[in-house]
Amino acid sequence: MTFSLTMSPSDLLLLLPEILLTCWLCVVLIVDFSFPRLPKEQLAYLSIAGLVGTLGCLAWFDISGISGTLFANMFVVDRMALFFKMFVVGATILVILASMEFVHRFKFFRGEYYFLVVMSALGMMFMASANDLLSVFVTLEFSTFGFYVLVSYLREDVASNEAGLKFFILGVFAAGLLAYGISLVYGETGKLVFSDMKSAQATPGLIIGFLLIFGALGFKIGAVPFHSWIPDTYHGSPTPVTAFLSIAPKGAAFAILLRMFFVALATFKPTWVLLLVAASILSMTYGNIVAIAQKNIKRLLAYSGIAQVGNVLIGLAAGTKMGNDAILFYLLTYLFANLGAFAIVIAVSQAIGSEEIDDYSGLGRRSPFLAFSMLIFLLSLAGVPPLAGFIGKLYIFVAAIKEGLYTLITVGLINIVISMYYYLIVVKKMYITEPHDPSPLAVSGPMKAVVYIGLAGTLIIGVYPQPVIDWVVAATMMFSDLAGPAAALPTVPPVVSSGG
Amino acid sequence: MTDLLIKLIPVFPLLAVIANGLFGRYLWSHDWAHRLAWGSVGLSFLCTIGVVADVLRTGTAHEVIAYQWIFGGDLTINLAYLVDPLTCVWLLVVTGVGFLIHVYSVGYMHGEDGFTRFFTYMNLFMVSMLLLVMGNNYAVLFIGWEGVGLCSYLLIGYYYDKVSAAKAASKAFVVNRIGDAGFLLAIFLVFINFKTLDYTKVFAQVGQLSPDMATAIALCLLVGAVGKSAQLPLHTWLPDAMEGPTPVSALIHAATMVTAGVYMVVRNHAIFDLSPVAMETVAIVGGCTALFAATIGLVQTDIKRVLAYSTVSQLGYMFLGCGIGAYTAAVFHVMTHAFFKALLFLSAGSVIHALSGEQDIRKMGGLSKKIPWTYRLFLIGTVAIAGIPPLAGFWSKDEIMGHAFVHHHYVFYGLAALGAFLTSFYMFRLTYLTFYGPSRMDHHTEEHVHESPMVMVGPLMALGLLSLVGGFLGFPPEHGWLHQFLAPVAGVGGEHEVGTGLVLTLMMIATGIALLGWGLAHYLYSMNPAAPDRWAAKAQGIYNTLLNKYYVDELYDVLVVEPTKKLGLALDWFDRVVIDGIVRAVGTMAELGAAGSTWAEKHVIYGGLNIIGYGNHLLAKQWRQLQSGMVHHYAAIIIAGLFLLAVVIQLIVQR
Repeated sequence: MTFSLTMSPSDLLLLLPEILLTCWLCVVLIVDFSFPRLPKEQLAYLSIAGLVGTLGCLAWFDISGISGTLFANMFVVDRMALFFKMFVVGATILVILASMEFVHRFKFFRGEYYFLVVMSALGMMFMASANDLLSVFVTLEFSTFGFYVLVSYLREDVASNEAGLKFFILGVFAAGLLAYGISLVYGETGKLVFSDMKSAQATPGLIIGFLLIFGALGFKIGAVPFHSWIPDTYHGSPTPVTAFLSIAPKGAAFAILLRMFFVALATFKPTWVLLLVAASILSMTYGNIVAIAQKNIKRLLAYSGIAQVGNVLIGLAAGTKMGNDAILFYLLTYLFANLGAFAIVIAVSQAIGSEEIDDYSGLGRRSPFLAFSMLIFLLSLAGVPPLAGFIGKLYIFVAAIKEGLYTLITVGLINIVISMYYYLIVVKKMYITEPHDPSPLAVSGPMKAVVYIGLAGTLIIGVYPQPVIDWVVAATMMFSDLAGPAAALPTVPPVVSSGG
Repeated sequence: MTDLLIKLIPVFPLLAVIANGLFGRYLWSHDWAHRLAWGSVGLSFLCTIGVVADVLRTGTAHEVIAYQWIFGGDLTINLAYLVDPLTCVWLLVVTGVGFLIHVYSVGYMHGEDGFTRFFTYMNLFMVSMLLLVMGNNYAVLFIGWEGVGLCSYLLIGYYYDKVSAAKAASKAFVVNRIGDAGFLLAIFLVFINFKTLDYTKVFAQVGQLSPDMATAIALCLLVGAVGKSAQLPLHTWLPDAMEGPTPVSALIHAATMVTAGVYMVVRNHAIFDLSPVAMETVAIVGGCTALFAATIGLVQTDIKRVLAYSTVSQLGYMFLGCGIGAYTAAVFHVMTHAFFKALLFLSAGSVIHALSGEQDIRKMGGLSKKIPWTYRLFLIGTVAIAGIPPLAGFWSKDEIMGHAFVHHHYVFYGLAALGAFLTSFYMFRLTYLTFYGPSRMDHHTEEHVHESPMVMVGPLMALGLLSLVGGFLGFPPEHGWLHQFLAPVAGVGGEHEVGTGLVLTLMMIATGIALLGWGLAHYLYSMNPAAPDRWAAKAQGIYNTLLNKYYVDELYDVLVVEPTKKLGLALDWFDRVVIDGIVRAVGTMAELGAAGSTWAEKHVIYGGLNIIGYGNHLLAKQWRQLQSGMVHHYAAIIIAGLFLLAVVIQLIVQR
């Protein structure tokens, strides 16, 4: 195999958003050490400016239909890649806004914090474009390095250090799985680019290889049984980092999962449907049940996140274009509701210094704005109409029903009921329980902006989803020839197709 | 172009609601809040004029889809508008009169707490009312219907710290719920029969309806209309609704919302026409309400309550008109009524404003000199509603009565004529007590009496002008401009031609009746002021019955409200003891399950994995201190999971 790495100016254009952000990253770093007296808020706004510019550039690509591949198919720019890049950049902007107040807690390297966040975002943008196994490995690791540092950013906090260490060890472990999987797949097929593997034979080595890769990506999205790092790491990390960790890497990893399952493994669909059904059921059930027992809001959101990933995997298990659309849509609704909820966790922790659910007592009286927003976000996460989360769940379930995955749907519906319980426990605390201390809470400007954006997204997508549906349908146009109904494939076990 | 204008009509007030509702309290002053409010309604009015001009020119109805809202199975509901001549009339009234009342409110509400809130609700009401009259299907109609109900509730309870206002608001809401239930049933029946909710499609296939089904739908619709338009027996909420600020009474409880019932009946006349029973019922409800409310109006002493009962009574005329098939006349009366009743309410507001909040006519008197403009305009309104030509009220009321006579509904004619006499009497009684005779105000109030500012008197003048000349839109009777405009939607009223002589005779009689009412009022309240008390003392029983509104409220309390409250308490007990018990039991089980899972994670899974972990420990004793004691468990879970999934795949592959 030979690589042709010569690039023409038009190839460079495909890389424009990444190049732009890389340059800006350097500018942020240079500004930081050139003007040490500059308030770090300015640095945050500077980073946001760069991200907004990148977002504009991506939107321009999306509208004008610029697409193509680079580096012998390693790097692809298509509408799905652009969707996930915008997803990541948008999430990063919100996270930076939500971090601005929190950064004062860091004793050192406050400026570098923004640098690391944006660098991770850059890595995830590359992930969204990864089109072969090598670029999957490189981009995945690139994006994770930033997180290793960010997770343990509270240097004097034991929990943060412990979280960072655990995340690092397990992250490296997952990287090992990934590398091992890649080597097996390459050994069996001699191919690295996803689209070249369509005609591969299903040898045991290939299956094990992909299983290992799935394990590494499952680690990234926090699907059971690869979820074990999530609660501890989410709990110990600085909260804005937790927020970041809970959404952006999941989006980027789903971009890779979609390409892997729908391009490289499209012909093996009967083999992997049950794998995904199992992972989905495990994630939803485990996440939701254990979330009930949580006393800490971050751990609660961590387990809720595991359950939500289970929901997204339903769309992957459907394995159709519609399932694919539903995943994109669902992730978008999750972005607004989840980041909104985390923003409120940050705001509350900033004001009262606690993340225990008990301390949310009487929030409805102490800060009606925060409590009401939290209510909306939690209801959206639970999937209550007319909020965005409801449409997302509906979309993903319809996709699965069309494939006859009735067992999965039944489990999913039961899980929604369970999830309602612990989401509403928080609501009950906020509105019904008397506050320990009735003093009102102050909310900073940038934080309000994040909450308003979250509310706007949650409400608008819920009431008028059509433009977003049109967008995600267009974003996954290249999967329009995906396999038809699963019932036509004889190898799907009857428990999946006729249960329920 | 017209389509765009149609879409824009409800958008302006909606934007004002969003702007004032979200930011009004923080970002700008009261000045900007009210400018936004009346400005947006004014823009809607301009759009309406453009749209109406187009409908007039082309003579076609416009159907515009704003966006597809619900779609699935049989059911497709669009947020779509239908603008035909009927909608045009309502649009003009709603935006035109609404605009004047918004301007008036700027003066009336000046200095009140919650100024911005008031205008936000008013604009929200405009949006809902516009949706109500513009929707092209029953769902949008229902949204508007509920929206205006909500705004009515919010605005009646505007002074929410006043107990009576809060109670009146709840009463209006609850009584309306009864009507809404009927309306919903009607919508369901329509959908079951036609599999669509669009007017045009429904009315196109209305012929397939069996007479019984048509009666059922029409009666359910009527229940809805009776609730919203405060007809017997659901009229009790409207007089209480006078707790709201006066502009609210004028806009919602006189000119626009309460006529929604009439709009619905006229809009659905194709269904009503199929069912003689339903038509008869509409007419009976209307006729009885017209007379019933008028009798109560005779003895009330609160200036706004007299007007409220008069509104109920006038709405009765409109229903009577619908019931005997005089749809155009009913619509005509809606329009003229909007003019003169808004005028009366706003003038009454001006009186109340002048007297620093006094509403009891026994404490007024002799105001004609002190607030001359208000007096003149109120008098115009009184003459108009009394039905004295050539003012607006005469033409529309006379047309309904004439239609009843010509089509041999003599009983209804009698009811209407008696009601007209009473109307004339109590309205002039109101005028005499308020503006003539000696002053009965206390000294302090009298010192402060002042004419209202121009921002209030201006809209009054515009409404006064409309009350003077508005009737000529329907002149000559049965063949006026309005009749030709509405002919495509409301059907032609008088099929059999009536001789000019009969028409003139009926007009003379109607005028005579009105003048007779005036004369009696003049005798009792101007020439012989001691007479009313004597009359009241003589007919003590009747007087008290009327004063207490036939004890309907008390009757409802005993028959409905109290039993419902008891039922509520019983259900509450059942809920707390039985249902909650079950829920708690389930919740406890779920908690136990969660605790169990956590325990299992800690002890079973980790315990099992510890075996692997111990092996690890033995191999790397010197690394022991570096390990947290947990991470390797995590890694082990991942590995175990991978094995599990590998087994799953193996099973599939083997199949």
